[in-house]
Amino acid sequence: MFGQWSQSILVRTTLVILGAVGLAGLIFIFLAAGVTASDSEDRAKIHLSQLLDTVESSVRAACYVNDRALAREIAVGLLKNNDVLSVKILASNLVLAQETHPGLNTRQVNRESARGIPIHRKIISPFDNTEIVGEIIVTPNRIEIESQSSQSVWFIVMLLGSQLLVIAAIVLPSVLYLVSRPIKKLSDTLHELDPASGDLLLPPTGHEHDEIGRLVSDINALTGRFLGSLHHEQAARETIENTEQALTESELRYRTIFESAGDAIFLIRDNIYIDCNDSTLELYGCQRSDIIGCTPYRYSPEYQPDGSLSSKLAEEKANAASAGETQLFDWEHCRLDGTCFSAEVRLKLIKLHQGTYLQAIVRDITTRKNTERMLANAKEEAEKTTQAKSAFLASMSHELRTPLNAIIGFAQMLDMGIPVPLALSQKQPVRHILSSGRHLLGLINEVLDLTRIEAGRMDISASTVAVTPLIENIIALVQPGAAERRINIQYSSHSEAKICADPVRVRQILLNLLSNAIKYNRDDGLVLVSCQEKNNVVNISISDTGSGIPKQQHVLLFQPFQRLGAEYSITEGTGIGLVICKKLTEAMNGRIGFESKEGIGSRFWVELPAATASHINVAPEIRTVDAPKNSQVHGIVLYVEDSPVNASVMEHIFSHLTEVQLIIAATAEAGLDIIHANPPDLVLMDINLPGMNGLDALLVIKSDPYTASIPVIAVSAAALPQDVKRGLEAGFSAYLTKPFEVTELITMVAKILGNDRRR
Amino acid sequence: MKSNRLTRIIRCTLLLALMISAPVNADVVVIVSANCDATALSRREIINIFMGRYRFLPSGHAAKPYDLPTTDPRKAQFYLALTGKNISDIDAYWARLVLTGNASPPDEASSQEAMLDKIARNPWSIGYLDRSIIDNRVRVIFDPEH
Repeated sequence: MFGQWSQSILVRTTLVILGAVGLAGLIFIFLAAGVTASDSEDRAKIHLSQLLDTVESSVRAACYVNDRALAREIAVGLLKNNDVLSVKILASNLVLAQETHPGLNTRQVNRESARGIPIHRKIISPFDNTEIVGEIIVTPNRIEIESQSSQSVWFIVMLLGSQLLVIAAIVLPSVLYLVSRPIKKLSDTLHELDPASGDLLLPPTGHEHDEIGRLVSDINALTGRFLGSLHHEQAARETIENTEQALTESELRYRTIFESAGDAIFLIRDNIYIDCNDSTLELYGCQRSDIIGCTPYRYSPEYQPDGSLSSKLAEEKANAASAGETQLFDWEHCRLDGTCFSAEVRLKLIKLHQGTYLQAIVRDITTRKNTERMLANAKEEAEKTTQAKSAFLASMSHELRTPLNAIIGFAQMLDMGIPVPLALSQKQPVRHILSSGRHLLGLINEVLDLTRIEAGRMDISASTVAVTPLIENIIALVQPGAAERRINIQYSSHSEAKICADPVRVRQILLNLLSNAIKYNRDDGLVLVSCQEKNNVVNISISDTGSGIPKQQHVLLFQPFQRLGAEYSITEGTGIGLVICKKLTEAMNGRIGFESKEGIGSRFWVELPAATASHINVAPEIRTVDAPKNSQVHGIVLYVEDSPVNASVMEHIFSHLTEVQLIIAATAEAGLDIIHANPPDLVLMDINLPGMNGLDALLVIKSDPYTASIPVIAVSAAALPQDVKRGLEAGFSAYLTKPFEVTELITMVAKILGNDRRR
Repeated sequence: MKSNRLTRIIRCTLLLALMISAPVNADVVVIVSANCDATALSRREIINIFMGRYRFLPSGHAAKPYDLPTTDPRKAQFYLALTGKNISDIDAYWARLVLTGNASPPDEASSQEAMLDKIARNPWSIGYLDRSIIDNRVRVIFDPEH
């Protein structure tokens, strides 16, 4: 109990104050007692001396005249003073008076006399300062002196005691009020405080700026710091835990992947295998102990397929991977039993704290290699097939065109009335021959187009095309056919729209659609063409008043060789026109579609992107130059042609041009001889010739400065665009494909010879 | 101690003053009867006689001193010259002793003439007078001024 009390500041302060004041008081009392005692002694001495002074003249008189009565009187008078114990007056050798304190007995007097130091004073004569007439001896009363002294001491003790009480009475409540209570209050608050929730300790009222206030702010600061570091530590611990967990998970993940991977995985350190997974053992057919500790090229043949030394190449790869570049390469491996296999190796650097590793993932690619090989073979095969197909088509095209040239050529001549005008009854059959021949030609061209489109070898150029002139041009083209069946074509939009497309292809598409609209229309029908621009898209639609397309057949439209029953009608068609239209439109980033109602008609539409300002590539206008009159055309033309029928066609055509001399050469060699012997004004050159072909012959002509200026026009059944392109690049002035239009040929010849003439 | 020295200084000063002023005042001398057997008396003997301590002559006879009246300035002059004390001190001295009765001051002569007469008549008597009025009946035994 006391131990607990002694913990209290109040009690301790009290004890300390009381102890200190008490001790100081005791020392002070002792000092005071001593001082008081000696002071009393001194004062007593002075007092006695003063007493003697007052009676001295009387004593002098008494001693002078030896007056006993006076001496006794003086002694008794002195003894009235309590400080005086006894008085003795002597005159020379005579005792004049000896008196003691009346309250004391002789024994006491003797005892006190022994303690007190008597005061002796010589008495001199009143009339002669040099003569000593007696002596007075006074003994002080120590009892009295000491009692006075002890009274003083007691007074001081009382004073000190009261002071002690007063100090205690002031200090203790002060300590209680100023220190103990606020600290207790503070402590209570501190106990109730929850620092984690951010509570702050408030200083007791009135103590904001004193030591307690500072203590409070120190506690708050300390708590803040402590909490801060606690939170920090907590966060750090959480981070560490999370990190450890993540690490463990990550490791587990890696381990799982490592162990369950189908590929062989190695870990390499310092060019030595230090770990591998189970797939490795399976792949190499060995034990783990066979792998670990080996160099990476241990399970490789001495040389790789490319001839380099395995050990050297492996080292290079390892070095490159160590530099941080992940290596992916094929590698030939050998199993323990000596069998080899191809593998894809992925070498990657793993940087860890305790060092750097290389991870090699080895995948057996034997199957893949085989597949690849098979794939390559198949591709080669396919390419061969494609080439064969192309060659077949080209050759087909060529072989079909050559006879067609004769058919159409002669039919045209007959139709033109060369050499003699036909009878009316002959005219219709010749027209049939001509149209059938042209239909066959169109069929061949479309099949070729489709083939090219499907092979993705369609050349599409993009330029800005004004829609209205194009449509009007096409309408003019089909107008005669429409007029025959009294079909009215109306184009009312006259739009200013411009599209971004290949003008030739757009023309092809629109022509196809318009031809269909006429072809499948009824007699006295109507075709409406309109054009609208909306959201940067130009929509051209062509409506007809035909029989429409049944709904179940909608899906078959745009499929090759689907004529939707028309194959059984009298209407001619190949069934691939719309397919080509669709492919071309899509190739030009457009859309094509239709809507149809059976018995009312169909509407086909094409949407093509509108030309923006960026499409500045304006298609050159097709300008027709008026050919000079046939009568003005004259000169020598050499025609190199191996086919006698075609040569005959040409001869018939030129027979019409009376001023032009046509020379025929059956081979290039013969042609060149003629050119050298007698340079013509123009050479028409077939390309597929026996012996030297047309292109080589052209080179010979162009390489000889004597003949280089002679224009050479190709006339060939090789009608594929790449053939035309190649021919023009080689130096032909123009390229006519067989079967050619007679008028076109004549126009071209006339133009060249006319120019030549003018030149 | 200090006061003692002070009183001594004062006394000396007073003595000096008396010595200077003496020729101005009348010359007071101690006289005895012409019949007196004493031939010489010291100052101490004279003080003893006058201050009541030892009133005997050298011959063994009791001496009878006489004072002049208190009103006579010569009394003060005589005591001052003899003891160096003022008359008031002398009076205080006698006041202390008179009460106990063991000693008494000298009898008083009513005047100088009476003093002269008394001294002349009694050979054991002793007194003091102005030197000027001395006759042959008496004898100057001591001059306190010297």
